[in-house]
Amino acid sequence: MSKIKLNLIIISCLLIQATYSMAVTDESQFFDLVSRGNQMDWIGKRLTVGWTKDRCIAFESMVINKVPDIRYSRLVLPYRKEANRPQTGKRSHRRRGERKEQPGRQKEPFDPRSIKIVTADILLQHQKLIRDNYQLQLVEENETICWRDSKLWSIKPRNPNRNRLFKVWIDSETGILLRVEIKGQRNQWLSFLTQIQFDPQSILEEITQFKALEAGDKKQESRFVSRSEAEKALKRELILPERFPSGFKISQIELMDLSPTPVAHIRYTDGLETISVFQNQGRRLSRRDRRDRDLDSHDKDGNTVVPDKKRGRRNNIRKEKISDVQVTIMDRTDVHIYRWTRDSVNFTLIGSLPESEMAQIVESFINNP
Amino acid sequence: MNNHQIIQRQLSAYLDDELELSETIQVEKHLDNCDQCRQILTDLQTQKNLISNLRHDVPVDIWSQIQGQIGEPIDEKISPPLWQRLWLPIPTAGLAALLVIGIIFLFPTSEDPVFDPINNYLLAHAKYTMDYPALDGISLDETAVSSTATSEAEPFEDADALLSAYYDYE
Repeated sequence: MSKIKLNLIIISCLLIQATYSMAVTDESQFFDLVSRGNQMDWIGKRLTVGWTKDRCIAFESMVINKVPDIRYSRLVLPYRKEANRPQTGKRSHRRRGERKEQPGRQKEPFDPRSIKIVTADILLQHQKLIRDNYQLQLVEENETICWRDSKLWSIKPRNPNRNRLFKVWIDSETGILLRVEIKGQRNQWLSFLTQIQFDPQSILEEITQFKALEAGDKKQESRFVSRSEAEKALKRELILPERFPSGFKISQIELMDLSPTPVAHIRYTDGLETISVFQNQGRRLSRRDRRDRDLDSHDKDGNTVVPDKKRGRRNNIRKEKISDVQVTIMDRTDVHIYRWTRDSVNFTLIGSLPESEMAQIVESFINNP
Repeated sequence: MNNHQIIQRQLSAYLDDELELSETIQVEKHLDNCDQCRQILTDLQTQKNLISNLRHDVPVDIWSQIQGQIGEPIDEKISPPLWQRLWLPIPTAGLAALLVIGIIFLFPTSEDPVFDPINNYLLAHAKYTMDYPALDGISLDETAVSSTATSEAEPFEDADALLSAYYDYE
């Protein structure tokens, strides 16, 4: 082998090593910064804007972070006076936190307070999974966001078939997440932080206000359980898939007390993406199902297609056979929902992975004896 | 039935303009050449005019008289015999029971009375999804969420809007 060739090989190896080191450095720097931001006391206002194909919503929230474990967020804009809103039927029930019991199809009251995500925590909690499944790249060293110097990272799935893209701007000095942009298949979310304060007195005052609000708020506790506890509650073994898409692991099992039988919610994550599997026992036939049955029609491949007449747009409901089991498939903006029943167990799979991967998960569930 | 009889049966309808165009043409063609039928038509026309002249206006106070009679209480209530009082409710109740059973069998409900938990599932999924609604702590107060809907005139009323926009939650 000539000397030139040998030198070229060495240079190539060094370049690969350098690129890898840079990537590792980028990742380490990212998590170091996020970790630092999580250890800071601060309050700020966060504006969040979301777009879908035909809608746009925006709101402003006050967020607070006080180490070691206080993280609050509440909406401040737009503010609506209670008196201006009619207290009728479902909404008045919802406001009092009651469940309106009535026959027929029921809609579970939506308790928006239950939606609480502390991403900085999640980022740190699933650090290893994120490192394994996503490529973090420092795109911009110095970008001004909210009058503060920030570093811009792009987070892309390593799997080329997945297309969720995250852009995160982190305060260079404090490590606070200043701005986040998430692009999905059909929607996009943008949130950015303004009016950050580090004044301890203001933070304490805000915490006092938050606690006063929280005192009057009946919180719904999640029941996270082990697999054996879940099986005990369900009185049968949990059915899990033979295989799951690479990179995903069970993150939590939650027991949901829904009538008539408890439901096990098994959550898989690859660090940033979540796939939910719900399973319970019993017959499932809703009015919607009956309506679907009445509207059944077939496409050119012989699959059942149920047009959602109410929406009349992208939200088609299809019925397909996967491993000889009839599966109802619904598309809701960026998530796919697969529902099927086997041996009296009802399954619902929700996730944003491409349809091919979702169908493989269903198949894997069905084929697991 | 000969042609005369067919036409004569249609004459009354012809007078009242109730025939199809083709039938009208047929009748008129026949009348042009048939004295007998034309005579019958004339008689019918005469009778119709006489009947229409028999109309009289309704007396002004007719309704007040009728209403007065309706409002008068019936003093004597005729009570049916005891066996009838006991017997009649039985078939009525039986019919009602049959109707209820029929409705139950024809329109079966699920064990969980048609409760579809899909929205609960979507909420539970959203609760721990990274991209909903954006990074960092979010706990929504339902009184304070707004939206602008480019395709719908009415703004959303509460935080359902978030799920609605994100998941087409309903």
